[in-house]
Amino acid sequence: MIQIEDVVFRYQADEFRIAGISLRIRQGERVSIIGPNGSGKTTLMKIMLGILPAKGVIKLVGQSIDEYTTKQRAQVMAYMPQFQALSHTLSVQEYVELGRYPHTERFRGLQPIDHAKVEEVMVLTDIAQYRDRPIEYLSGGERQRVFLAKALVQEPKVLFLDEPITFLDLNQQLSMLRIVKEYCENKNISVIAIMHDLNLAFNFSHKIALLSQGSLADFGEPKQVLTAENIEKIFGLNVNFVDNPRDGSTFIIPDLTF
Amino acid sequence: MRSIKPRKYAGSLLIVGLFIIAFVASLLIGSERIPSGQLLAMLGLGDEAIEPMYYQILVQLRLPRALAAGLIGMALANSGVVFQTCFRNPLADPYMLGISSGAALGATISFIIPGLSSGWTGVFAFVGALLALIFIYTIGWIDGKMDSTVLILSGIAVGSFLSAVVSLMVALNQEHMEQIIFWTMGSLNAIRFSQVRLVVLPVLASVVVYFYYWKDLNLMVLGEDGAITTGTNAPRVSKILLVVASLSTAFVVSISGIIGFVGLVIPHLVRLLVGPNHRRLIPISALAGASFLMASDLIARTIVSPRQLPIGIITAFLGSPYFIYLIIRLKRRSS
Repeated sequence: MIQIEDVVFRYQADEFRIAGISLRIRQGERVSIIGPNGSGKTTLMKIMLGILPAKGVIKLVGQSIDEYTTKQRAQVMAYMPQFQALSHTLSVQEYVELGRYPHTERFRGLQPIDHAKVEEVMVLTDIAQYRDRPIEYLSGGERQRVFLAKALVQEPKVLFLDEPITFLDLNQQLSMLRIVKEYCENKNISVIAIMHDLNLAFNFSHKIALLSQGSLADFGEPKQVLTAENIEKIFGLNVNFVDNPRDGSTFIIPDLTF
Repeated sequence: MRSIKPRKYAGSLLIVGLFIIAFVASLLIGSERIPSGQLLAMLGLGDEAIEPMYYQILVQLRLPRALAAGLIGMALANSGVVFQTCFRNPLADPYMLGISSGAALGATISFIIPGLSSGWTGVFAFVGALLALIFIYTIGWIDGKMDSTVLILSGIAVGSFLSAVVSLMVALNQEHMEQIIFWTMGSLNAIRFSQVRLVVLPVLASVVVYFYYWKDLNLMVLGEDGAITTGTNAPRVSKILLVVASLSTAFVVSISGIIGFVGLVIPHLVRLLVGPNHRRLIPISALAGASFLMASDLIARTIVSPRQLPIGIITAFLGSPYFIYLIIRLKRRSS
């Protein structure tokens, strides 16, 4: 679905660089990008989205990303930012409707099919009851669901989530990830998410990309990547693994002495 | 909980209505009041005999003036919309990139060059605005990318520098002081059809360009990353739109002088009335800006008749209290 080979990028006024990262993400796969702060997670995501120009090969559905127009890319990839500062007040519905633009012709407004799609996604993310409310009046959790709704309404083949659950309480974190998992499994959408919570990343993802100082330290299934050695090497943490007998999920428990 | 659902159609209709009223009023009202029957007769709709004097006043003086006011208002209001959206800054206005001070310097130079006819003022103002713009865009263009912060800051710096030069020239050429001050507050006194012809194409073309990009403008609210990932090449589109808006402002400044507050206030007012969608915001702001300027000009030429006030005084008088109200409203909402 999306494939990057030997991607190199460097900020102009900064020493930091992304050095020779290669990744291949299949259709319907959920991949978490994890790594310490400043390891290049957001930069890598922006490179894959075509926001930052990088050297190397980036292929989207078998075709170089350079062969797509900005609009065509938006028909294949959608991005849910960690935070969205709007320059003008928009209502929830007005905001979600923007996600249909890649599917409309230049001079035409939204068509009935677009409105139906907007409605469907607003119901799915449980925001339909706030449709006329200004976004800044919503709570953190509601706002996050609005951002997700706009990304989903874009009907992407690859969904990019930049720390989708950072501002949420535990219950909302889980419900957010469940919505993403269920919707994307049904529609066979690949998900690439930047995550900080190793436990949620472990249990949510098919694969994990572990970044360290702009390089890919490891990439593979959670069990192979999130090992005690890797976590100690990259995050500098001692951890234990505990299996939950009720549902078979795995817990990563760091040494919690203060 | 409060909800926002602007009465979009009612708001649009209100502005269309005001536009028609402002246009007709600025044709009929003035130091010489023209009966409405005369206007109808001139349009071939009445059977009154047309008085040649009324015909002269209406067609030679008031019509070009109303058209100019309308076009200038359109250009300033729409440039304001574009600047605010592209810079993602609610305080952006069409003059922020040094256009006004560049134009003022050009006009001032034309006043103090001995023997230069007044027809040159507009040309000098336009060239001044253009040079200031080119200078500021050159600074703000870094590695093929436009940095909006650098652009805004250099606009302020270059603007202050040019204004200082204008003040210096005023101080050294006191005999032209009144002329220069009057010009920097904007005036439509000397408008004839030739000037209307000069701006009509650039202004209407710019409105068409903005409307062509209405969806892209809507997406700019998401910021550059958000706009790009929702399908618009935001850096390229804002480059195009800012250059068009700057040029259109430079054209209108050259015939009217500096008229403040239109580009700042009208976009906010119209956004409140019809919502943030540029599909409506562009055409309705154009009409609202036109109505506001026609009405302001009407007040400027009648309130102390037979004397005429600079139109910039009226727009500032009407615009600034409304702007203060907007700021208070915004403050209340954010608390």
